[in-house]
Amino acid sequence: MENPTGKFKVGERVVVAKANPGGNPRTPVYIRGKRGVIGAVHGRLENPRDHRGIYQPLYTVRFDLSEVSPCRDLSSVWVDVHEEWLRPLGAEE
Amino acid sequence: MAGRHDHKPFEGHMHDFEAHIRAVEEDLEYYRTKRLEPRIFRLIRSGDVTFYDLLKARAALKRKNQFFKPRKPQGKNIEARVRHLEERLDDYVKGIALVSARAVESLDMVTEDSRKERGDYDEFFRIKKKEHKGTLEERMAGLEKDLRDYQELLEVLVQALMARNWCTREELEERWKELNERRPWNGGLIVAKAWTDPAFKQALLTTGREALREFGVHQGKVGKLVVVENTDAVHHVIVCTLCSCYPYDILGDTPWWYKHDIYKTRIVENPRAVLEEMFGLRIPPSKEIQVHDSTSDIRYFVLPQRPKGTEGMSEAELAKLVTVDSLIGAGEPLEPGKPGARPSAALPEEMPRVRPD
Repeated sequence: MENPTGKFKVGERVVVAKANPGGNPRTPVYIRGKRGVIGAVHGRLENPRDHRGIYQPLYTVRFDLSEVSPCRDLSSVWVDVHEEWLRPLGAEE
Repeated sequence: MAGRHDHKPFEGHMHDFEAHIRAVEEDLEYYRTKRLEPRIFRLIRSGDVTFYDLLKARAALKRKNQFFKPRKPQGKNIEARVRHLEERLDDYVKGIALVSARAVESLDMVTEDSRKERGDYDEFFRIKKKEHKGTLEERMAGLEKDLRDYQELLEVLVQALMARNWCTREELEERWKELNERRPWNGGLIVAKAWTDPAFKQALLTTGREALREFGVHQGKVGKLVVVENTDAVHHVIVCTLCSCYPYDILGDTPWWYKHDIYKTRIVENPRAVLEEMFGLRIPPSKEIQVHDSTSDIRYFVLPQRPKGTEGMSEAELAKLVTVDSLIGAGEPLEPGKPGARPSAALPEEMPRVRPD
């Protein structure tokens, strides 16, 4: 049976797809193709006022600022991304 | 001349008319191009309201049947005119809330439809915002005219919705009354309670919305609320780079800059520089800044640190120190007695406007 909270766990390293035609539109361009770490697992959230149907499981993914911006700084950007956009990061990546 | 960081350049006090006018210009264009006009296009596409319904509604409109009653200015000086513009903007925004998807339930609209229609994912659909040029006087005259025009279209839409029986005048009047009721601002009350009641704070940080049941916060299927706590080691900042998501059903509207492209683009590129340059907020280089981009069904707000020198203050006094900016991470709460800070007793309570979906 499918795990209702989704297939990734907190601390897992992931990479965001570069493109996902027909996928959930709420993945901003600046994190596409970028590497991050799962910071929180939210599962499937119901929100019928905002959208029809239920989106795929949702994660908060932590990105080092240097991964998404040329800026070097002790900062991070945390973005909410749906499962269909994520895959595990390979060891050599 | 006042120093650059004497007050936040994106805010300004009443004597800073330029800042007030800028705020009206930005918010007015935002609500026209991101809320009202995309909604009309959506209704036209679905056939629920047609161009011809709008034309007929305009032709049939008599002063005595108008839904919105125009406000009169309380004087001719610049301060009275600025206040009048701000009040009319508030009425316009509330008027859009009156005909929002949630308000007119018989129309099957969800937020995602509006997001597509207003070009959140495709620039092709974006409605061009007007640019404001000229002297302050010319810009004020321009805003007065724009507000008349925009309010007229809103009035005509309301009339057309009634003519098509999507809603009744009684329903709209009831909702208009609710939208105009003064209520205490939950933001200050929630934070003050979290500062003084550790069990409540723990519940707020772990269960979000559920901890806010006693504040009358809606508990249904509306996604998730996450509250992030500022500490000595981490400073949190909130943004929505795709549109302008924010827990506005709990906290009311955001300042105009939260919806502005400059903030939305730059805060995820160099948050430390943005906080200092735009808000005069200096975060030491050794402190981590975590930027939260609310891209989906989670809404965030920041629990700021309790200011020094507030020991022994009551929850009601503490609530007055909490600013809208401090819940976004663009400012700290006010410090009582600090040189330059306004005395807390004299502060008007924060009262952000209603925000339409």
